[in-house]
Amino acid sequence: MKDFISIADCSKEELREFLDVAVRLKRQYKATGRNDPLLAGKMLAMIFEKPSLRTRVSFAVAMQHLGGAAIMLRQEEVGLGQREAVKDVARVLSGMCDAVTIRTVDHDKVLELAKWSIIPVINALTELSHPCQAMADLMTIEEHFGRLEGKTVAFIGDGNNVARALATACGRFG
Amino acid sequence: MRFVLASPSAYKLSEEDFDRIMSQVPELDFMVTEDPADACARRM
Repeated sequence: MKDFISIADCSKEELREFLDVAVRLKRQYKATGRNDPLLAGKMLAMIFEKPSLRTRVSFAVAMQHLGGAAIMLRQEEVGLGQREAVKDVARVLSGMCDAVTIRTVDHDKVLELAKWSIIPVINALTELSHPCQAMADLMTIEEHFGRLEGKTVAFIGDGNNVARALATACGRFG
Repeated sequence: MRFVLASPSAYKLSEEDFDRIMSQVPELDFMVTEDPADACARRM
């Protein structure tokens, strides 16, 4: 799996590995105040066409904790699909960065970016899906209530991108 | 897992979305309601 764009693209085993690694790294940081530099020298490009607080900060902080770095790219700077063709942005970022995360309304734009990128593309929210939020929710549920299998998740709110991603993730864990 | 979605009628998941999710994860026990209390009471 090169990219993380939709929960539905991932197997249960892949999602389980995400959670296990995240829990291990969180525990390591809480216990020692540092993480192993698993991403030393790696650069994450972060394209945010929509406002973000938690997602943006969590990506930037995670890169810092793991020994890498993140560069923030706003829509007015990149002009993804407007000033610059998506294909060209993908080529440039693939040449200088190691991964890219993108928040945009248009899900197809993320798919096109992934199509032309050599580096992994991570969906940081589209109108269709918010897979990173869903995984964070499942991690929190598991930390507080134990293994996911057999659990009931009640989502009270809009039937939106977060609900869709979380529902799909719950289905994957069976 | 069971997933219970409680949304006001104007904000509920579309049938198209529901069908797409169920085609992706047919094993999901997916329930929809408009009542948050009802959603919280539907524990497996």
